[in-house]
Amino acid sequence: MLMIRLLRAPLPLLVPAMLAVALLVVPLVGLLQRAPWSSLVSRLVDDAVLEATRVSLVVSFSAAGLCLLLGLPLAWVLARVDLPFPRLVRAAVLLPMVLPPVVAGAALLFALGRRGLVGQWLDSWFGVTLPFTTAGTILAATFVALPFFVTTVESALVAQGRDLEEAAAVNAAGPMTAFATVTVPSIRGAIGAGLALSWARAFGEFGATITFAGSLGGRTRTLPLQTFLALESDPESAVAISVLLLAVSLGVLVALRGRWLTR
Amino acid sequence: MPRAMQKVMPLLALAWVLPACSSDNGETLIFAASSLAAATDNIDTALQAEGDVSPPEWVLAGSSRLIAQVRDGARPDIIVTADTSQLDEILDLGYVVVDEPRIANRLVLAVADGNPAQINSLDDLGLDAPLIGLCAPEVPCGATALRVADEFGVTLRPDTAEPNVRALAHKLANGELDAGLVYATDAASLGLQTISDTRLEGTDGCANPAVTSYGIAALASPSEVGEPHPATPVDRYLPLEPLQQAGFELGLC
Repeated sequence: MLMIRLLRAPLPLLVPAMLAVALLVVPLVGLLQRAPWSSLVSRLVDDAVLEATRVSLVVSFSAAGLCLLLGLPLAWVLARVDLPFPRLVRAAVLLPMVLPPVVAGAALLFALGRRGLVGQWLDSWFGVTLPFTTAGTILAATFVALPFFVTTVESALVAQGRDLEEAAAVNAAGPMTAFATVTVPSIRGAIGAGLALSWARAFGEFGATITFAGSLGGRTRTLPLQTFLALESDPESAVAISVLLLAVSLGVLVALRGRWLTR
Repeated sequence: MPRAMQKVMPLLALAWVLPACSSDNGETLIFAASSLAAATDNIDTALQAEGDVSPPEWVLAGSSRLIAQVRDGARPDIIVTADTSQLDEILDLGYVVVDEPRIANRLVLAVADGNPAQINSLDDLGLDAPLIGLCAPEVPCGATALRVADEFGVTLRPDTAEPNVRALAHKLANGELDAGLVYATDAASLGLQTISDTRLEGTDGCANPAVTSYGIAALASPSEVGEPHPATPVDRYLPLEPLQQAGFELGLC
C-alpha cells in the first residue's frame, strides 16, 4: 500500500522529500550506531548525568510553563489588537528564533546580568542576581523558546478569526470569559503544539544557557551542557547522554502530541 | 516541474557540497588553546613585520575541544594546547609533538573591577557569598585550578565552570563574576584586576601547581616516512618574543 502511494507521488516532490528524510534520519542513525549499548545504563546511572537530567527537566518544563503563561496572552494581543508598527512588533517577537543562541545569552547578560541594564537594579534593590542560577537558566531557555509558542498559537488565532469570540463576548459575561471559555478550548491543538515546540527548544538549549547562566552541576548544567563537556573528556558517555536526550525528547513529544493534538 | 530540473537538481546539490570540502586557501591553520587569544595579535604583527611567513589562521577553543576536533577529523597544521598531556591522544593521527618553543602560563587570582566582594587571597574562593568562576575541569585551566586547590589545601566553591578560559575571563571583565582563576596572560590582555597570593607566585617554575606548560604538535611531513618530522616550521609561526610580551613564561620546564 505504502509503496503504491509513494510511487504515485510526483518525482520532483518525492526525491527532495526522501532527501529531507535522509538528512534528518542519517545523523540519528550515526549517533545510535556509536552508542555504547552494553555500558549504556552504567554510564547514565552516574551522579553527574542524573543531576543534569533533573536540571534539564526542571528547566525545560518551567520554560514551557512560562511560555504558556506569557505567550498565550501575547499571541492573543498580536492576533486581535491593532498594534502600531505591527511588523516591527512581530519581528521583535520572532528575533530570538534567528539570533545565534550565544548572542542571545550575551544580550541577556547585558540586560539582566549583575551589571546589566535592568539587572543592576534587580541586584541593588532586591538582591536578585540571575546569572549562574537555575532561574537564570530557565529565563534563557524561555527567551529562546517563547517565539515558537507565540507564532504557533497566534497563527491558530488568526486562522480562527474573531467572529466566534466576539459573538461569545456579546452573549457571555465579557471578553475575558469569552477568551477563557471559547477561544482557549477552540485552539487547544495549537496550544499543545506550541507547548511541545517550546518545550523541545528549551530542552535542547545550549548557547544562551552557557553564556548567561554558566555551567555548574546540579544548578545550571543541563543535559546539553553535560553532553558538550563529555564530548571532550569521554566521547562514549557523550553519546550515551545523547541517546538519553533523544529518548526523553521523543517521549515527551509523543506524550504531548498524544494528549493535545489528537482530535 | 520540468523534467530537466529533475536531472539538474542532484548536480546543484553537489555544487553546494563541493566547495565546502576544499576550503583550503593555503594559509597555515593553527588550533590554539583559548589562552593564546592574548598573543595572536602580537604574533600576527611580528610575522607581518618579519615577512618570513604570513600570519596563520587561528582557531581558538578550549584545549580539550581542539583535541576532540582533531580526533574527529580536523587537520590543523599546528596545534597548541595549554597542557602537555593531551597531545598523546593525537600522536597516531600523524602529529609530532614539538619540543620547542617551550611556553608556560600561570594561574592568577583575578577579581571584578574594584574587587566588590573584597577577595583577599585564594582562601576566599571557598566563601559562599561571592560569585566564583573557574574553568571546567576538562580544560587545562580548570584542571590546573583543581591542582592548585589540592596542593594548597584550598576549598573552591565555584558558581560556574566555564568551557574555556576566555569565557571565564570575560565574565570577570564585565563584572558578572566576583573572582576566578584565570591565566596571567588573560588577566593582562583584558586588564583584569588581580589579587596577589604568594602561593601562586612561587618562583619555583614548573614545580608550582599554578604553572602549566604548553604542548605543541605539528602535522608530520608525509614525505619523511619513518622518522616523523613536522611539515610546518613551528618556531617560525610561534616566535617567542611576542608570546613573552603577552605574558607567557619561557623556558620554565
